[in-house]
This record gives sequence, C-alpha cells and structure tokens, in this order.
Amino acid sequence: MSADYVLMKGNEAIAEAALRAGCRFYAGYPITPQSEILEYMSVNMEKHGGTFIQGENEIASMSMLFGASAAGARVMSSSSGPGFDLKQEEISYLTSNNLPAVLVNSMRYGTGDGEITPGQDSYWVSTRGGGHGDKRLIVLAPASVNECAELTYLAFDLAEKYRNVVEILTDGAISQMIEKCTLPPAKEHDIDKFDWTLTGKPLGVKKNKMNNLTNIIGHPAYSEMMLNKFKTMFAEEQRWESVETEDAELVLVAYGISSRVCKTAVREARRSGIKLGLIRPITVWPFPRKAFEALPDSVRGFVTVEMSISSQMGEDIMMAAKNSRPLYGCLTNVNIPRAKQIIDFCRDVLSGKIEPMEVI
Amino acid sequence: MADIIFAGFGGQGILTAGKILIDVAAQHVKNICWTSSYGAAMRGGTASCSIIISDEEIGNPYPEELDILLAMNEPSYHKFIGDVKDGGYVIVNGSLMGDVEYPKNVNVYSVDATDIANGAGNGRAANLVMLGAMMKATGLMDADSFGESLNSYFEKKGRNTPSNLECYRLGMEKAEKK
Amino acid sequence: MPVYKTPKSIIAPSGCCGGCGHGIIQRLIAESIEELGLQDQVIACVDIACSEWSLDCLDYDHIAGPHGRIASVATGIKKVRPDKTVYALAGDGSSYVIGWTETTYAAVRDIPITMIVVNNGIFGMTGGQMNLATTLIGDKTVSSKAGRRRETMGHPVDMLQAIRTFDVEFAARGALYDTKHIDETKRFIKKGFENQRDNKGFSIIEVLSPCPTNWKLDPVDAMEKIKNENEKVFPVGVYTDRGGNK
Repeated sequence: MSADYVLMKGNEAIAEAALRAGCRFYAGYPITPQSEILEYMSVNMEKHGGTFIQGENEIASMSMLFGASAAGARVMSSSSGPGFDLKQEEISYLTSNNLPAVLVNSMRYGTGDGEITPGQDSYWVSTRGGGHGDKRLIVLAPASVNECAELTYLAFDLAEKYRNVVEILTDGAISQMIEKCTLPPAKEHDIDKFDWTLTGKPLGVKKNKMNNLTNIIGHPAYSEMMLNKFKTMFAEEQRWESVETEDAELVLVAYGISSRVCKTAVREARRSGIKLGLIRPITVWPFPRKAFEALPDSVRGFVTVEMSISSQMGEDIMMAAKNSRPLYGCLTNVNIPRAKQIIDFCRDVLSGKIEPMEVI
Repeated sequence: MADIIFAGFGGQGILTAGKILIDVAAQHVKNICWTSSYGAAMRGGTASCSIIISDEEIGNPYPEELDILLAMNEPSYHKFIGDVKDGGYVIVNGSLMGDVEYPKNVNVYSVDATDIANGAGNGRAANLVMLGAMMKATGLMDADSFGESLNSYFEKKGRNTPSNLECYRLGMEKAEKK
Repeated sequence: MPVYKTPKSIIAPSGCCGGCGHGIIQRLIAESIEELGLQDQVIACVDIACSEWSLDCLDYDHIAGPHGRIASVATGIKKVRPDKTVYALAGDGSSYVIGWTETTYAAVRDIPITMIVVNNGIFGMTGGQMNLATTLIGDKTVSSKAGRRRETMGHPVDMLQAIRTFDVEFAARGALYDTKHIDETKRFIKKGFENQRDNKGFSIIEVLSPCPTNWKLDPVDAMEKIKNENEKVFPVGVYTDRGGNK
C-alpha cells in the first residue's frame, strides 16, 4: 500500500474506480447494501461529464445501459439480491450483441426479500446466471476495499477486451467496510474508439445493425465465435491467491468476506500446529482451476467456507479438484464465519469426526 | 495492534467516532478496517462499529476478542463485555449506566459523556467526550495530537465548532477508573 | 404527372405482411428525416416485435430490443450521443403494456427523442393476442376468442391522455386509413423530429395502424375498421404541443 491512500467504503471505491476507468454512464435503482455506489455516482458522475440516471426500475436502468454501451460509452450498474435478479434479461441482450458492461452485485443474504446483511448465496446467479441463452460472465470477487478499486478498474478493460459483461461480485461486508485504498489513475475513454458502436453514420456508409448477432452472421459462425471466446476467457482470466498451501493438510477455499476470515483462521491455526492453507478465488468465473493443479501430497482435503445453506461453490471446487481429495463444507448461511469456528471445523475434519460433503 | 468496538444507540455518533479514530490511526499504522452494523439499525436501535488497527494484514474484519470496548449505553456494554480480553479496556458512558458491577479482569473507565456534552452546550459531542476518555485510558495514541487531528477532521467536513475539542478534552479530564 | 421519389434512406422492402401499416410508417419516418436533412446522423431503436422489420429496410444505425424497453434504450443512446437524431419505433404492446413504465419515465424525464408508437390493437408478432391497452371491447383475438369483455379483461385506455399530463414537448395521434390522415400523420412525425433537431423535449406520435393478418380482415376492411371503430376510442389529433403551433 503506497502512502498515497484514501479511506473509503468498498462501495465508494468501486464507484470512484469506475469513474477513473472512464465510466461515463451509470443507471441503477437503490437497494441495500450497495446504494452508496448509486449515491456516489449521483454526486460525482456529472463532474466528469457523464450521465447518472436513477432508473424507475432495474430493467429500465439496464436497458438504458444497453443503449449507452451500444453507443460506445463505458457503462456500469449495480444492485443486490432481488434487484440483481431483475437485471438478468438485459445481461442476455448485452451478450447477444457482444456488448461490454460492468455490473456490481453486492450480495445480501437470503431468498425473496431475505436480509440486508452480507451473504454469499448469489454465487450461482452470478456464475451461472445472466438470463436465457448460453453465456459466460467474467466474475471478479474482491476481498478488500483496495481490491474493489483495483478489480473494478480492471473490469472495464476486460469487458472491452472480450466485449462481454463483467461482474464485480462483492457482499454486504466488503461493500460496507472502510479500509485504506490506493486509487488508480484517471483516464478518459473515447466513445468512437471502436467500429462496432452506434454513431449515427451518413447514408451509404455501412451501418451497425444491433440485433441478435446470429441474425447477421448466422448460427454456425456465432457459435464458433462465442465458444472460442468462452474458452479464451476461461484459459486467460483465472485469478486467485494461494496462502500457505505449500505444506497444508487442509486447504480452505473461500472468496470475499469468508476469505478474509479464512486468512485469520490459517494464521491462528498454524500457531496451534494445524496446517491450514487457503485458495482464494479472485475470479469465481472463470473458477481458478489452475490453483488446484500443483498442490502438495500433504493436502488431505478441501474445505469450502461459504455463507450459504448448501454449497454453491462446491461444484466448481469438485471440478477443479478432479476428485483428487474429499470436499468438506463449512457453511455458515446467514452468519459471517468466525475464525475459531473454521479452525474447530478443520480440527474435526482432521480427526475424522466430519464426513465429506455431497455436493447437491 | 488493537481490536475495538464502539457501540451505543443509533444517533449517538458511534459511527462518526469510529471514523474519526480510523482517520487519525491510518496516518500512523499500515492497516485499518472499519465495519458497521448498517441499514435498519441507523436510528434509535443499537449501532456499533468495529475497528481493527494493525501493521499486519487484516484478515477477519470483525474482531472476535476485543482490546477496547467503548460503550455509550448499558445494553451495548452488556452485549459486548464478554468479548473483551483479559487486561483489555472498557470505556462506559456513566450518564447512561445503572448499577453495574464491573469485572476485575478488565480496566473499566467511566465518564458522564452525555451530561458533559449537554453541559458544554454540544449535546451531539458525547461521542467526542468518550474518545477523550478512551485516549486517556488506553494511551492508544498521543492524546494531544489526536485532539488536533479530531479538530482537522471536522474542519475538513466543514462543520467544526471549538466546543468539539473542548468536549474531547473534558473527556480526558473527567474519565475515572472504576 | 406527380413523380414519387423513394427516400434514399430506404434500402430494402419491408418484410411486413400485406396491408400492414408498419411499411407506411417507416416511409413517413424516412421522408421526414430526409426533408429535415437529418439522414446522416440517425440512430434508430426498434422493439423486437413487428417494428424490428424496419431494421434491414432503413439505412441507419439500428438497435433492437429488449421488448418494451425501447424508450430506455433510446434514452441511453441519446445521453451518450446527444447531437445525434435518436428515434424509438415500437408497437402498442411494447410501449403501453409491458413497457409502459419505461415509456412513462422517458416522457417524465423529457428525453429529447422522437418516439413512434404503432397502435394496431393487437400483439402482431406473437400471433394476434389481445393488447390490454388498445384492443377494443368486443374485439376477437386469439386470447379473447369471444371478444374482449370489460368485466374480466379491463378496457382499452388512451395513453396519450396520460402522457399529455407529463409535460412533454409533443404528443399526437395520427391514422393511416386515407391519404388525408397519412399526410397528417407525417406532419406529426416530422414535428417530432423537428423538436429533436431543435433540442426540445420528448415527442411521441402514436399511429392507428391496421393489422389485417391478425384482425382476419382484408386490407381495405381493416382500414374501414380503424375509421369506424378504433378512431372513436382513440381520437386523432394533437394532444399536447409545448412549443405552440397548435
């Protein structure tokens, strides 16, 4: 961390980093625990010559985003829980036109209205969701305020590079905490940079017709292009942090707020002789399978630590681990895990008191 | 270096007190982390914020054992007192505490924060009285330079009054060890 | 002898059914744009239903869908490229039913776009289901086979009466059943584009338009139905004109 820091909430760091990445269009609808993003944009977007719109609903906000992205701007929206559900239709439309956009999903716990407190049970809607049709979103999961800024800044470049929707998957804890943060340099984005945008061209000049891309290039070419894109993103964009996995007996797998507690658990467990390690996915799609490739023989199993009822990340860990070792679930649902709880769980796993989890 | 919770009623300036502390602390230590109970608890209910100050990387942002508890009312004291480490510090708002037998394994300091702030004509500054008492009791930071930083915090916000610093100093003076 | 010139913006025939009004509306849009000299700076937003047929016919940058959200899509584009001519073309299902909220708030925000709504009293693209806002009482559709009943299906509603209260720049309704009304509709559409050119606010032009295929009428009878029935519920004319020239 450089000396040149600011103190910010995760939400504010996301919003400020977006502005510095050249985001000049934001539309959204308030919902806890991400409303500071919308509020920050309402105060600061116009200073940068951009557009802030408090939408009448999520669908309208996303449709405005769809238009603004098609017109060449760097665009962002944010939501949580039930609000994020409502964005799914337009994620599908953005995908069908290969349009870039950055979305923030700050997870709150529960189904229906649920809670306003942190959760990690929107993993599926983020990594598997995105509405109808076949698509992949790059999903970045910050675990600190500094990473909120860093990954948001990166998200705009990735969205543009792949002409794809990129999601920042945070949670009520990461969104609401204040930490030191080093902000990236401000840059401007040129809305005429790309040839695929809607610019309002003179008669006779080849026009862009943004419709289902399949109508224009046909299904075979579209399928090949998209599959190629999915594969490239999967191969190139896996990001993770490994903590003390070199000699670990059990490797915790956690992202976001849970990964923070896991770091403390690893440190404290080692003081009492329990060798824990941690794989912290920074991208949850693509899931960092590479992190699981070269683990030492000492590793006897994986423990997923998630704030959900059933394990949502378990499938991804199983695929990454290729059945090499059993998977255990330390699932804390509405509660933020505690380090002691994780250490006790791991002690019980190592002494055979806890059975491996069946991923359902 | 320190795991801290500030707690009280919504509206007592709990979250602001925490923000002042991290604002100053961040100038001297590598890492700080501030978390709060948010949303429905904003007014009238219980408000609390956790602060971790550390030169090590901060893992769990929610302290599991406390070095310092600053309790601005009695329910908050009872809610968190069990989490305070042996030898830790507890600062209570004497104005809002009933008859409580304080535990022996921790250092308890009391200051009549609400009464002092009201007496100074700055009822909203009870949180600053508490901060004064906390600096005196714990020696977490140099008490005088913390006072100066507190002043500049409110200057930056554009809503400072001389009685802010006065309330902080009264907290330092009037804090009593129990 | 009069010479009919095809607007240069029209580069392919419309793919609509025979007797459909959409083709006439597309032509009126193209003529209005060219007469105002705006043809080199247009971005068209079309809903994914029958309006989408214009996507390949007109030589403008185009974007389609999502269903009902076209006023929002146009809002996003106009905000990013305020110097361009941005219009939204959508049906009555899109604009007044599933997308009524989006239409409403584009109007309330007074976004300086030109919105053209095709009122054909039916869901055309999906095979002729009832339109909650525009199907007349008694009209038979595939989802109101015995005719629309007020008691169970509600009644048609004149949305321009609502929009006029939102303090928009211009709201008018035209029809296509004879040349007089086609000329009048064109004046309304052209006015909508003039307003945008002059940086005025939100303009909406609704057009009573036939759907012979789903009404199960021949094209002439479909025009007669508009004149004798639909226009009675949805009167043509200017609903509001903030800039004057009433």
